[in-house]
Amino acid sequence: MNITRIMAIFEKDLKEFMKNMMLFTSVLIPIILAFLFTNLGDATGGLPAETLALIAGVVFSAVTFSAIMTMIAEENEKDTLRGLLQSPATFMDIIVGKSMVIGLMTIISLVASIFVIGPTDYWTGENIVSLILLGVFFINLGIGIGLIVKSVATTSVYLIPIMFIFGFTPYIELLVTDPDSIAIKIAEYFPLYQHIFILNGEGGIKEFIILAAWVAVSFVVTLWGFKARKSDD
Amino acid sequence: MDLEIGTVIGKPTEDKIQLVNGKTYAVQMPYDYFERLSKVVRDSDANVFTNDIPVYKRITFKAHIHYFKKWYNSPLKVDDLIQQFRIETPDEKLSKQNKNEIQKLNYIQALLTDEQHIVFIDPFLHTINDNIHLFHKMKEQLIDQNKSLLVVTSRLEDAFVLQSDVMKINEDGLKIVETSENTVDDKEVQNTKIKVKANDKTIFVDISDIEFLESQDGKVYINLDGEKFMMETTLQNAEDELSSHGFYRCHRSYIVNLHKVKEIITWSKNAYSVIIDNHEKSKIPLSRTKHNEIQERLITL
Repeated sequence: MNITRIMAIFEKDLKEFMKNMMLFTSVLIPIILAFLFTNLGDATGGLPAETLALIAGVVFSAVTFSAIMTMIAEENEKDTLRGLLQSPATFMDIIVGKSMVIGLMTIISLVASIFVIGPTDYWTGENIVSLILLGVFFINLGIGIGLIVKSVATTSVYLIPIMFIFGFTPYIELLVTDPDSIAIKIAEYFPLYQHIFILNGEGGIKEFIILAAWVAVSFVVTLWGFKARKSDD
Repeated sequence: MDLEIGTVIGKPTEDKIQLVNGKTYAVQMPYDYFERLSKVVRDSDANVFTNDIPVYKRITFKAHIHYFKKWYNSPLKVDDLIQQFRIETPDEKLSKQNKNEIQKLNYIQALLTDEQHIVFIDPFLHTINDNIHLFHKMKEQLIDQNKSLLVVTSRLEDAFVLQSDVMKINEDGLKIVETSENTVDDKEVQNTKIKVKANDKTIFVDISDIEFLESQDGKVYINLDGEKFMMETTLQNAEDELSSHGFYRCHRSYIVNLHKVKEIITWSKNAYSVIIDNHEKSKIPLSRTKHNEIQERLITL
């Protein structure tokens, strides 16, 4: 790890991020959604945990996952890293630098959207841990897939399914109304559901273990991406 | 660092170019070898620069230099580089810059990089003269930084734009470029026309249309209107026959038609070019020793 290199990438990508309309508007989407949801809220105030989790799901899939995947894919497509990569270590610097930009943007987007809704008891220690685990899961997924795809255009092939499966998981309840259905049972093992349970204060050690397992899976995806890229070179 | 020629031409050969820090090399080779060459060089501790320059289009020129400086942790100052390379609009995005400006980014990166060996592939192919001057300044600085510079070109004239000693790679391997004063072949020169070969045809060309003659691999080629024809003679014989028509031997391997000369450019202490008044603005190498004589000949023409 080389801190100056990481900072070089961080500064450069932050500038690029702000000037890339596609990425920049993605940060605003959850915030706009949050405004819409507050108007939907009933007289009793507070929105259900599912809606709050959905905001988090949109942030993580539309900002975290999508942006890191797009940024890595763009470097691949334009071949801009050619001449800068001298060793595998320098490649790690690039990934870390980019992840820092995405991390910052994720925090801005999430905090702003939650602030708009203004729920009580959101920023509990347990919930923050679950948010961090979710963030790591999505960023790893984005890095892994970003390394595999060859162009920015291909990223949308992956974006929609990942968004629906992992970002909008609670929406399955609109499709499948029977609460005992096998589909719901499976969905309840998905990462966003663990976040809902934890947010509701029902989270125990089991939910965190399941979330950690998903994070472990995401690391496998990242490693797979690295391997695919290596054999490409 | 050793550059094995065998891996570039795809045939076993003992030849190699030893890249020594602080030295510069000019090599002419067929275009087909470029890809293999850049692959060989990229796998070692060298940085390759091609005319296809990858840039981040959304950030400004200045931000781009700043990024390279930070990445390589170079002590050079961004503002000095902007001034030295005469970046006209440093605060404009790369997507708004023209290709002559973007080309300067290569020169700047070569100075900032921490790699010891710098390779440029066909840097003079579509370049304006201002940029060639900047390239020569960059060359001096690279020598000061104790880096080596290898310039590879597809045209022999371009290799001489860098310096006077030039190497050549073809399917037979590596050799130093020298003139070939071979056996005397049959020559047929008429008063105003000259006989040349193009594939299986024999063409008679007006001598006054010829822009310059060059000798490569023991063969003489005449150049006119961007076309090359082989001539069955030696450069020495051609010089004898054509000197009365206003032709001048400006270099061991080149004869130029003085009527077609537009200007003479001094790139550095030992690199001069004669610019031909044609569409391509061909750059013909000019020997240092001939630098004064050609000027007299041009005046008295």
